[in-house]
Amino acid sequence: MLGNTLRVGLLLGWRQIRYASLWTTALIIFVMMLTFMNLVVVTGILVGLIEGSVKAYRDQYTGDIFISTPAGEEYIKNTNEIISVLPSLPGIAAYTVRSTTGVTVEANYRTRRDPLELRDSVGTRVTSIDPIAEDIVTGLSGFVVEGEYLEPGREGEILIGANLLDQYAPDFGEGFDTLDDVHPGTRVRLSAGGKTKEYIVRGVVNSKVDETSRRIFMVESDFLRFIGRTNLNVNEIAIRVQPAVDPQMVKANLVASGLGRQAVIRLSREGLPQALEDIIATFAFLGNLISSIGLVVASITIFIVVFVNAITRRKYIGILKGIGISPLAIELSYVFQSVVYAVIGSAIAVVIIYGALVPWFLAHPLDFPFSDGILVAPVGGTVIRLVILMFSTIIAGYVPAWLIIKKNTLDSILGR
Amino acid sequence: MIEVTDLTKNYTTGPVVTKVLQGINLFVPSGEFLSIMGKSGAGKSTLLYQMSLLDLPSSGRIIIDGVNTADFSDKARMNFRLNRLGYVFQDYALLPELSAVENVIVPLLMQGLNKVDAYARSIEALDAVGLAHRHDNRPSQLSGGEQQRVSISRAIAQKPDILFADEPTANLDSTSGQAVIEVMNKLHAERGQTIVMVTHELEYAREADRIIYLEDGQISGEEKQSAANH
Ligand SMILES: Nc1ncnc2c1ncn2[C@@H]1O[C@H](COP(=O)(O)OP(=O)(O)O)[C@@H](O)[C@H]1O
Ligand SMILES: [Mg+2]
Repeated sequence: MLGNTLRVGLLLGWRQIRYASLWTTALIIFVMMLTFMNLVVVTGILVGLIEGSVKAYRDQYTGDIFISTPAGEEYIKNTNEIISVLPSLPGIAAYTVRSTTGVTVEANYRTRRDPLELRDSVGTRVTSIDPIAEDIVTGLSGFVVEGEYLEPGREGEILIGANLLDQYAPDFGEGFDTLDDVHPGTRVRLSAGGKTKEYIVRGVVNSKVDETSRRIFMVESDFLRFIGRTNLNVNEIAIRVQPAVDPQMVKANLVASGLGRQAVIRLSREGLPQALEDIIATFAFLGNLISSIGLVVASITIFIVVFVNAITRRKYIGILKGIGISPLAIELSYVFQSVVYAVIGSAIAVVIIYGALVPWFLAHPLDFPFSDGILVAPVGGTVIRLVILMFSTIIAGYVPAWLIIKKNTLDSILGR
Repeated sequence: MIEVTDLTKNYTTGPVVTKVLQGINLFVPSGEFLSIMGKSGAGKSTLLYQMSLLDLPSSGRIIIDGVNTADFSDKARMNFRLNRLGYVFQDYALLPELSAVENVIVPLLMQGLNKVDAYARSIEALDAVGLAHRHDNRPSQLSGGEQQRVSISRAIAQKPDILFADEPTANLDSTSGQAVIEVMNKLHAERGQTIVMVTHELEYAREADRIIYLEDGQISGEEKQSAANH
C-alpha cells in the first residue's frame, strides 16, 4: 500500500518539476544552494579564523609533532636518543631541534648618555636553530622581511622578531616594550644569567605566530657559547610528517619507542591552550546560530513556494482525492519536489565549496590581525548539515501540502 | 446497483439552511444507464456527489452493491471510490502536467498495478474512447472533447462498478458532445457498464435506459426509454 502511494507521489512530483517554470525552479535551487553554502561557510570561516592560526602555529612552530622539555627540566635529557631514532621512523619527512632561554635585549646603549634615562630593552626568548633544518620544517627564511636569513657557520648574528621592534609594532603602543631604530646591521646586546654579549641583527622576521615574531634566533654554536651549555641537549624538536601520513600514528610510534620518558611528545594540536579550543567551540556555535537563521529563511521559502503551488492547484488536489488518490501520495509529491530542489541546490553548493571555496581560501587566506583565516569544512560536518537541510526541507514541504490537502475534497474541487 | 433511501442534503450558511435534496428514493440496478435531468440548481450535482461518496448526506441511506456506505471511514470511502467508482467531471479535470496515458495510469498505480500492467490497461482504456494514438499528448494539446474522453478512460480504466458523469458534454460543441455520448453508449452496450449521467440535454438523456427528472431537490418524474432507442 505504501509502495503504491510512493510510486504515485513520485510520478506526480516528478512531472510537476518537469513542467514547472524554469525561472521558479532555478530560483528555488539558487536559494537552497545559498542556504547550504551559508550553513557550511559561515561556521567554516569563523572556525577557520582560529583554525588558521592553529595551522600557522603548526606550520611555523611545532610541526605536526612537537617534542618539548618536561616541566621542571632544563632540557630534553634524551635528545641524543631521540635524534638517533627519528631518521629510522617511518612517516617522518623532516625535523628541527631548538634550544631556548629567556633573555633581555637592549639597543641604543651606545647613544645613551644619561644614566637616568630608561634603557631601551625588552625581555624575550632567544632560540637556537640549525638554519637549514629549521627552514625545511618551518620555512623560517620565508618570514624574513628585512635583511638576510641566518647562515650556518656565520656567528655573532641574530634574527629578531618584528614584534620586538618599534617600527613594526606601533599598534601595540604601551602594552609591549619595543626597541627603537633597530635594523639589519644594528648591534644589540643580549643578557641572560648575568652574561651579556653583543650581536649584529642580520634580519627581521615577521609572522602572525608569536613564536616567530616575538623571538630572537641564532645559530646553535652561538647559543651554546652564550648560555654556557656544555651538552647538545635541546628544548624543542619540531617534526613534520610525510604527506598523507597520520601524525597520530607517528606519535604513537615515538611513544612506543619509549622516547616519551624524558620528553613531552604531543601532536601540534594537543599543545593548544584550552582557551583556544573554547574559542573555536564558541565560534562554531555562533556560526551555527547565524546559519540556522538562513536555514529558517530557506524553510520559509520552501514553505511559501509549496503553499502557493498547492493553493493554485487546490482543484487538482481535490480531483486527485476525488478519484481515490491517497492524501499521503499527494503530500509526498510535494515533499519529493522540495527534496529534489534541496538536493540539487546543495549538490551545487558542495561542488562550489569543495571545488572552489576551500582551495581558494587556502591559497588566499583572509588577512586577520591574529591569523590568516581559512575555510574549515570537514566532510562529517557537511554531511550533518546536509541531513539537517533535508530534514527542514521535508518539513517545510510537507506542512503546507498537508494544510491544503486536508481541506474538504468537494470544496477543493468546486473551489469554495 | 445503488439503493438511495430518503436521502436529504442541507447546506447551512449562518442562520440559513438550504434544503437541496429533500428525500430522494432511487434504485439503480446493475447495468443500467440512467440519466438525471433537471433545471439548473435542481440538485443534480448534489445528488451525484452523495451517490459517488464525494460528499456525506444529511440523512438517508446509500447502499451500493449491498454495502451501506454510511459505515465507511474516510479512508474506506476513498478506497471505495478508487476501486469501485468512476467519476467524470464536467470540466474534464485532467492533471495538466501529465500526458493522457499518465492521467489514466495514476489511479491504477494507486490501486497497486505494476507499471507494465497499468500502462497496458491505460492504453486499452484510451482505445475504448478512440484516443490510444494520442496517449502521449498533454491535456493542453487535446481538444475539449478529447480531454473529456481521456477523463472517461481514466474513470473506466479500473473497470468501476458504477460510472458517474456530471454534465460531461456541457462544455463541448455538439460534435464533441456527440462523441462523448457515443463512448458512454458503447461502454454500456459492450461492457454492461452501470452509468449515472447528469445532463440537461434531452437528446443525450434519451440515449439512456431511463431518465429521472429532478426539481427542487425531489424526483418529479421518470421516463423509461424503449429498447428501440438503442
Ligand atoms: N455549499 C453550498 N451551500 C449552499 N448552497 C449550496 C451549496 N452547494 C450547492 N448549493 C445550492 O444547492 C442547489 C443545488 O445545486 P446543484 O446540485 O449544483 O444543482 P445542479 O447541479 O442541479 O445545477 C443550488 O441552489 C445551489 O445554490
Ligand atoms: Mg450541476
